[in-house]
Amino acid sequence: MKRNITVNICGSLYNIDEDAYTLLNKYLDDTRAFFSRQPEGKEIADDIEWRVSELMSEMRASGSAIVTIEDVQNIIQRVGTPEEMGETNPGPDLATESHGNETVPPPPPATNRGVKADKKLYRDFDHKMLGGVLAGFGQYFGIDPLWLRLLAVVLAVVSWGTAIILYILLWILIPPAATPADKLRMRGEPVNMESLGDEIISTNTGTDCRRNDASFINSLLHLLCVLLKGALTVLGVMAILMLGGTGLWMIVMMVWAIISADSFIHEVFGIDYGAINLGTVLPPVPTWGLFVSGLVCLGLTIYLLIYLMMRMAGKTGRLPKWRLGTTMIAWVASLILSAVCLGAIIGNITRESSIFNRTMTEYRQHRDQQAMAESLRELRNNGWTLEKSRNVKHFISNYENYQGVRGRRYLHAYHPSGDMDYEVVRHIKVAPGQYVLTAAARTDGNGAEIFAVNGAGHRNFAEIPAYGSEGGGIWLEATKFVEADTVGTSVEYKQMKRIAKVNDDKGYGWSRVIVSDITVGPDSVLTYGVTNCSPSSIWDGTWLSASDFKLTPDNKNSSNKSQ
Amino acid sequence: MNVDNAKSQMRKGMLEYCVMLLLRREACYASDIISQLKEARLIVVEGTLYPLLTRLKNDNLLSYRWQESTQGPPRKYYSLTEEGDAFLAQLDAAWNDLAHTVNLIKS
Repeated sequence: MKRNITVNICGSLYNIDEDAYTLLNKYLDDTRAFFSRQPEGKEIADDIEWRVSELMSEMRASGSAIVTIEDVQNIIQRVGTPEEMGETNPGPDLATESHGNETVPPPPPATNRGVKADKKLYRDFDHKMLGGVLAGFGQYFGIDPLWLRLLAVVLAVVSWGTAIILYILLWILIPPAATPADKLRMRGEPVNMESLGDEIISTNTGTDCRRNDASFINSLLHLLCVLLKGALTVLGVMAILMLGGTGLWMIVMMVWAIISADSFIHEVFGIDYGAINLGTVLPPVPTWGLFVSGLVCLGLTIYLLIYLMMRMAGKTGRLPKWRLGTTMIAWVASLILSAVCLGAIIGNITRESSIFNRTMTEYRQHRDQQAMAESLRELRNNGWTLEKSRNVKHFISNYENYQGVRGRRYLHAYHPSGDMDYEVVRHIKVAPGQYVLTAAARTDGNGAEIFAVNGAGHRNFAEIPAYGSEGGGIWLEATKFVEADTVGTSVEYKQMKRIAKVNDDKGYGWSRVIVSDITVGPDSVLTYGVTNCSPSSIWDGTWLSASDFKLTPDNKNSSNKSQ
Repeated sequence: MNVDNAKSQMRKGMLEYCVMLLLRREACYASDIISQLKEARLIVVEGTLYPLLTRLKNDNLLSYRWQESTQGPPRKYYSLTEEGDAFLAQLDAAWNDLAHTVNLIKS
């Protein structure tokens, strides 16, 4: 069966086979191109086209209703290729003339005619196993593709499949030998009327050289190809779905972030996603439905738009009605399905949006609890007990150490309005005797104390000087020391200089706090620590810090009352 | 140089003269010229004629008019112009000269 085309040549209509049409079209194009180099070329080409038409009408008059490829070849034989017609070229080989047989001439050796074309790399469809890449290489290098295929299998195994990616890349990059001219170029044969005609005939009559080797290796390769094709298809579909799914997921995440707008910027990426069940928010069926129908809809829209544009530009013919109809129906269906799925998802999100907020709140509480638990654990590990804590979230900080050492931990409490209770103590056992407790501490208000209580309940304390977060006793001392020491080489000097330099030479407000005259009784019990809940004074600050607690025996034993 | 090529060159040189001779006898279509030239084995491929006709026409040696045809489109009906007649007369003289010379040499 052959497709049949009606052509109009110089005002006459002819029925012509599709392959014959291809050849004739190529012939007339070539002629036109050949003579276009001459000033009167168009006229000559028109005359030749006219002659072709005349010969075809003669054939029709003699009874052949349809122009076949053989007819076209005869016409070309009679009228001659453009190269033979050229006046400036050396004359045609008249050897054939003396044979006198014009209708069935022996095919001239192809290499004599036309310009010898360079071999070009194409994918060889006629001998393909998978994509025709290796068959094409075989044509290009003149090797039996079987060896290339075996080599490729070995490569694929040895390279752990990397070679497959290379193959796919080549598959994409190398063009297929789609037209008869491509096939000729692929084989390195010249592209001219005769060769092209032969190629078209051989392709159409099925006498092409497609090899149906039933050898063991070939059937094995075939099996491998079928498997590989299947695997590639599955992989490709999966990749598309995964890519699309990821993209959709990201969009959903962003929408979600906007919906749960409450300080989402810093929450959304630190969020404990496990705490939120996305499945209840994004029902799987509408999500996938939206994804698939959205893809189909997008593809069809682009297809229809391109078709419409081509139609308007007159670059393409009218699509068959049934095809246009099914495409339109599919497009509308995918559009409706997308809308329905989107509606379902949006409805679900609106319904479940309270879940977001609740979950966010829960999450934040959970996180704070975790931070508190972490701080508590750290306190305990260092022998501290959280005696009182109200409205205090963090008990430890590490940003503003008086030596400027980042990461050194110290006790710390803060509340924006100071409405908090904070008391951290150590319960220890020491030998009975007199002791002095020193600590480094700071605060921004009155009423914070370093204290010690002995077994008998006697309480000694010293208030933390309220320097705020700049200056401080330790810093002042260090600054004075640095100013006084003109030599500046001792280890102590270096330490002091470091302290003086803290916070751009401003200090962080730390002072040395000394609690003296601590008497530990025979029970050896002592409790010391830091608090803002003093029994004797009222707290009016918002934060306090303390560290470097040191209990030393008071050897002087003098009852010098000082703070 | 083989004999075929030499023959071909000779015929080629004669082609223009012969086409004009045919047209002096009677005005005719390109297809008529082709069939007569083919009979005389002066051309192999028909396409050769068209560039020649176009060139002669552009040199004002011949002209054509469109003639309606019973089947197919109108056809070009070629005839010699006066210039063409004069040109052909010169060619005639040259040919007689040439034939005379050749015969003289041969005998």
